[in-house]
Amino acid sequence: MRGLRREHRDDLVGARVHHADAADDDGRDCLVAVGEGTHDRCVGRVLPDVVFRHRDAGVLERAVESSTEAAAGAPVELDGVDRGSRHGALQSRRGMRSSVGMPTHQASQRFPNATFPFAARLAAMSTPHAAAVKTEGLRRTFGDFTAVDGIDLEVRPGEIYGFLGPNGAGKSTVVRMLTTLLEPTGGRAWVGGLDVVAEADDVRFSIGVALQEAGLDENMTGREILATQGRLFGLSRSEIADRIEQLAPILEMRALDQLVSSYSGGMARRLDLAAALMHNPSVLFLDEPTTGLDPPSRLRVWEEVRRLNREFGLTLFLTTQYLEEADELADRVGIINAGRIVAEGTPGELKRAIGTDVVTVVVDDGDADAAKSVLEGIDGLDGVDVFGDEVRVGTENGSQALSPVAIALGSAGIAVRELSLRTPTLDDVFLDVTGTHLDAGSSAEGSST
Amino acid sequence: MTATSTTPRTEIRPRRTGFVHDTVSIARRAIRQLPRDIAFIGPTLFIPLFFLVINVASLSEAAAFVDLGITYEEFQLPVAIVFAVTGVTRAGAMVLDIQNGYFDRLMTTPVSRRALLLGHMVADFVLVVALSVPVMILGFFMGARFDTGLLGVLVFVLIGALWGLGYTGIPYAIALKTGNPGAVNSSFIIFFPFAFLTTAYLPAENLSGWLSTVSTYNPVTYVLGGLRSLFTGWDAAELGKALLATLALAAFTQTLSLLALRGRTSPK
Repeated sequence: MRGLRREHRDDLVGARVHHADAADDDGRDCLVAVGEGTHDRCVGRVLPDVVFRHRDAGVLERAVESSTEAAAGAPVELDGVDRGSRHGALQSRRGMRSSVGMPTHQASQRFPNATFPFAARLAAMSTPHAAAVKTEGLRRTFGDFTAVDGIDLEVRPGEIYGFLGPNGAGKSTVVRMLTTLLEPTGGRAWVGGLDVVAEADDVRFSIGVALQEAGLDENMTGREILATQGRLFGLSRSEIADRIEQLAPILEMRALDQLVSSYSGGMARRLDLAAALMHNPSVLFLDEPTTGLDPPSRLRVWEEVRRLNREFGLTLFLTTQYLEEADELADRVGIINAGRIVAEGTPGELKRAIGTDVVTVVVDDGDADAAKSVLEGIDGLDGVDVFGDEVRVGTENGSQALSPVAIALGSAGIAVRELSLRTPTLDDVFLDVTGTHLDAGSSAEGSST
Repeated sequence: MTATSTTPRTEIRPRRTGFVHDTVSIARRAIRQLPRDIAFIGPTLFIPLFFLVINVASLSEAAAFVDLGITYEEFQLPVAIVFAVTGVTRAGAMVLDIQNGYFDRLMTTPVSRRALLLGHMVADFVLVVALSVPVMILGFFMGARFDTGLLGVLVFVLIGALWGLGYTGIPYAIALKTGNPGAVNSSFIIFFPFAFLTTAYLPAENLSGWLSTVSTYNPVTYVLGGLRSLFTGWDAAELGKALLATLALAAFTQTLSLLALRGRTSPK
């Protein structure tokens, strides 16, 4: 270690970490913890040896350096920290292995004093932005059909990652591979640093899964489903009861002892979500969590997803075909089409790539190319694209562009059937990268205009 | 963030469990569902009671010319028990799990894959024993008596239950292979040759021709022989043959079901 005095804040161990917040003045992330005595305040800096994530779902396991010290900004090396009983306890909790996204030999070189295999995990996890989910060239074929065609993605701990795409794009196939239900035919994937094929059983301890169809037995009560789920993860009777109480905000407690067959779609979906959370996972996979729900139920699920991320520090990987859902919930969005990621970024970044405003012109059949030629001659427009009979114009100032667009088209004798101004949506991004809209159903329901 | 101060912290962590724990967990769930599935249990119970009454009523006089060594009611009670326990399985419920996604939910947990099967079979065992009770009561009501006493009755029910459990490998294999409820329901048809090409109505020495030959290779023949022997005393040879026949069938059918389970749970 150089230039940094250690002063562990042991009083913070056990605090629930909210998230690593936006960079502070000196460019380092602020570790915001909530919980007893910490109450949503910056308690330290995200330093390379601060381990607070992985399967412990946001509970701070080690002391962190105080803000003041961290502000010194010196790089920190791992010096075999906390090799004592705490690690032993963790190791015995489940068979920790060495692969954590960084090959063991690399971790060993970087942290020569670390004790392997656990220290290798610790060391690798302590790399900046160690991935909660990572794939490299992930591929899945079914016979001659390629459902997923070389996906590379990385989801950071505590992030909500939205996987947006139309039906059949490959979203669910990716989720099934990441949740160990389906083996990739190419590439590799890790969840919480664990290989989803070689360490599938360990991965299952770290993840919660709510698939597209709520996986519920209608002949069971809600409480029975939760209890069975808890038992399969080794929870005791009292832990199951405690956990159900903790998950009460998600559940319809009044209906908990009724058969699931009497549940509404929204109630069943939330029970499904609660079942996925019973064992306190660190990464939650939600495959189209609101498909088929009415708008109020959808809003309630959204709120729960936000709360889980905000309060429990949960990493969420959610797939959706709804533009608005990705826009509202996701910190970052990966747009998938035909098995490939065609765009990725924060919703803001993706939309800004289109332009500040979008002017859409619908013209008669066959006039679109002529309209494009006319509009390309107007100053101040960022780009003009044709999609069928629709001409889309990106611009920094839509209100000022409307009149010149209308006048230019009118002067050229091109009949305008529809002229509209709006801010860009993720559908524009999808249109931009694929040349087609997301399917009409999802666009109509989901796009924010 | 006002809500954060009320957010419950949890120290709950998942723990590794074992095969037995997982089997018990799955079995508890399956057993709890049994009384909720009256539509399944009702007909399952009706069939053996119906056959016992009808067979005795229609054939007892005809069988008077044959030396059975026991009453015809006693001769038919094992047949009714075999009918009661064969094909009685939660395989249909497993198909529903596959169809409604609950099976996938289980697959995303660290549960032992073999426990998924065995847990259901434990429930099957409970069910077939429960179904045996009314059949036995009817048999006693009709005059059946065991010289081997209460222990003989227990062995009688146990052998029947083991036979039923052994047979469940077939519907489970079909359920896991096809995920189709219709295919599982029709698996009962496979039992027909077992049930009728045997000593269901007459003793082996009174069968002739091809039926006699087929019955020699039918494991049900030996199960019925073992069960019937309990009415007159302890016959180790007959009981041994019944157990061997049961184990042979179980070895075959459970191999099928385990192969089907491996196919269903493999992420390939």
